[in-house]
Amino acid sequence: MEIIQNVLLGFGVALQPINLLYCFIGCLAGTLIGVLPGIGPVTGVAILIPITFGMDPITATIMLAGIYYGAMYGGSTTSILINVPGESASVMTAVDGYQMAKQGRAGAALGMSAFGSFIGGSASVIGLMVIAPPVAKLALSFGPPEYFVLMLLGLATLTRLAGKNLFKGLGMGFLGMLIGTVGLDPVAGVQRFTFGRADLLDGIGFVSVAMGLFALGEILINIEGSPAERVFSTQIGSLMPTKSDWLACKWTIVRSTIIGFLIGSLPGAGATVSAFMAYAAEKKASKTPERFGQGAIEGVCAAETANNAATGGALVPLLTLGIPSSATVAILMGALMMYGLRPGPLLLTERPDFFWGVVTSMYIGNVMLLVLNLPLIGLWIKILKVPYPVLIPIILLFISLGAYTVGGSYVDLWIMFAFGILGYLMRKFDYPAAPLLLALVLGPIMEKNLKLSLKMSQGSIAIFFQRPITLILIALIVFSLVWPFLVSRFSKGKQDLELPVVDE
Amino acid sequence: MKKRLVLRSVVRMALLIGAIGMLSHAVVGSGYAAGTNYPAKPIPFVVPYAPGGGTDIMVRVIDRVGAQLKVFPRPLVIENKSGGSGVVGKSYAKSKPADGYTITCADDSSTVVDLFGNAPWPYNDFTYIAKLNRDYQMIVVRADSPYKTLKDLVAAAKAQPKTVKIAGTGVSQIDVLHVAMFEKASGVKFNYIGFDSGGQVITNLLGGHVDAAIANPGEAYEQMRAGKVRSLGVSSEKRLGFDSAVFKDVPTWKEAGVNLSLSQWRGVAGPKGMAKEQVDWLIDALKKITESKEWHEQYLNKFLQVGVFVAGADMQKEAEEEYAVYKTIMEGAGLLKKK
Repeated sequence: MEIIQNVLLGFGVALQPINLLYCFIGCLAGTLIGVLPGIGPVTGVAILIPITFGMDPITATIMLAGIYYGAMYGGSTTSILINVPGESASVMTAVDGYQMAKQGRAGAALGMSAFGSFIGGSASVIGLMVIAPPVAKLALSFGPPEYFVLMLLGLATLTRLAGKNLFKGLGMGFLGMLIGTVGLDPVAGVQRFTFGRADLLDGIGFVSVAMGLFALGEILINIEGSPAERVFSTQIGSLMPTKSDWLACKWTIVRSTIIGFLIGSLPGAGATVSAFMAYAAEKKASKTPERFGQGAIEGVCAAETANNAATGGALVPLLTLGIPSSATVAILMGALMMYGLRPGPLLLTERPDFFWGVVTSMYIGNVMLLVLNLPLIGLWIKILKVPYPVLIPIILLFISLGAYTVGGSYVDLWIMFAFGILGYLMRKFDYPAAPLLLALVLGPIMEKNLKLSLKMSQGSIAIFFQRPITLILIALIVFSLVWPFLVSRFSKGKQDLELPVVDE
Repeated sequence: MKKRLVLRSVVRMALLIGAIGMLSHAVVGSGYAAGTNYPAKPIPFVVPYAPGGGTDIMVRVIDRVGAQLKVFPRPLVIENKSGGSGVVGKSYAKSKPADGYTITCADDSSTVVDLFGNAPWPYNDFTYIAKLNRDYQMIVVRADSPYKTLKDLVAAAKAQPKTVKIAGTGVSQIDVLHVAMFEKASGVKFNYIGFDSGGQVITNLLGGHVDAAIANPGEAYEQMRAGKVRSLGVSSEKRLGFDSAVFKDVPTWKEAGVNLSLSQWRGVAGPKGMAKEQVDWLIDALKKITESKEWHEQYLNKFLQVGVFVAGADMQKEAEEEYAVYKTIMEGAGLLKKK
């Protein structure tokens, strides 16, 4: 019964008019930040922190949290409509969402994103209320060996993002890992492929690469085509997901919420990784995996549900242990300390009004975001009616601004342009971009944790086989690699009949 | 026809923007030319680290207290340019004219990146303005650790060299150097595990993935207060005067048998070659800020920092002495990468 009291206490705080107002402002600002490409939640929260000084700490945190999860809602919009991932966690949304838009189903994709986000976001808030302490314990049990094997599991899913040609997909994966090695060696601290440039010490930024490959590549391809072939000449269609869409996404939402919440709570994984993993899991679970990448609504739903569920997960270690689990949460933690609050193991008992107030406000915020975003779909969709010659310069302006804002450096702009050209060529010769991006995200985390693990064990790989979590994860990897072969052997007769249909 | 119209309006717009740009430049220029009343416009402060981090917070509190005390006529323009352990932002600040309208952070990180061979400029190629605070290091363990004192830890590390895992922040940052100094002073060898952030260090300590960690008081305080983490010793000369329930019983390293004291520091610097009047104005302003009650309340006490004030040439001298010490240590530990 204690939890009911706590939730009531929380609502008592969160429903105060001033807190409701700032929750709304946060959600609105978050949506806008999510929509603007490049300006992700990290930058958004950082920009708005100074405004919050002098405000009540609870009110300020409610607003900043609203920006954080609001950005996850907004991120889907440009991914779906114009193939511009608003922030890194929406890359997987763009893969199928944009294809849906091309097929005139942008409304359904946006609607499903909004609902998926709402369900994932709200469920993760409930998770935060009910099972935060055990989840926090789980997060702590992830050391370098566990992260290494988890990332390996992520890379094992790479084959499933590969598209039609496995060879090309894997090749792109290796390229992504190679690009991920630019910067300081994670253990020796020596420079690799930096050409002596300080800008490259931290590696090649994910946002610039993603916007180059996706947005710029798409623009270049579209300029080339004749006006009649242009993407946006298609009809817009229904604004809401249909009943069959809902049926298709029923279990996707459940699975992606769990994956998103758990992976989001791991310091060092985060929303982007959780969206990748949820997408890959859905493709694996699907009876028709070949639709993924061609406009499968489950793909959009998985990525958006997971990245919103991850926001609740990410606050678990912060609010229960005082440990930041992602870059955005680290900024939030800095802000809390400036307000005079000290996030730590004692926060929950010393300031229950803070903990429960913020958490329940997130629940309210998720409702606000749904109400805010559903009518906006009709508005956003009008972007598709803007003639392409007008739209291109605007997109270019925004993605350039976005790439620059990430680090405030022109180098990121050049990187984006270079990857734009690469993205164009990849599209031309039918190389998939998603494996490259997945490897770029996972590769450096994997390398770092491999090296740290081996340093911990003084060079012995036995460390990966002596820990319970790593063993479970290794079993999952083996399973995911062997399973497709088992399936194909088992249902060989059947597949022979279906194959011609699959491959057009 | 339509196209030409569009083109014309674009050109017109560009001219208008250009004109506005020139106009504002002219206004600013005339203000500056008068020279006597520095600062005649807001001073941009380049923070070479991400928002929300230790340095960023310090600069934001400087700005806030400066406004509260009316020391700065206009708010600072805080610009975060993070990357490469501060190298990116500092390089950017150094590329600006030394006219008093670009300042940035000075810290021991400049020394460390120089020694690790990751800086494109010499560590002391700045106009030193003022050093504002010190941050100490602690060796911390999990509450249930078998190491009750610093002596226990040192004895264990001596018995089996390179087996005691100690976590710290970064692989080419100051923690590496401070652990090397500790090893030298106590005659042991640890197995140093470098994580990306202080948060990750504490996470891995709490998770039991490492045996000990090197962390600043601010990084460990909440965990100590909650009884999750114990501090075996602090690198200061005297015991720390913060929250006495937590820090009163934490011995200094010297008390605990390791004859070493060290610290990190932060301050303010500008591009090389700033005019003396401007440096003096800034020193004066920072002195007023750091002597205020507000600074103690909003920064030092809140973030467990120890205030110092070392300005101009004295600060440069200290940095140069520190560089020599660190260089010797790194040579001894085989870490020196600089040619």
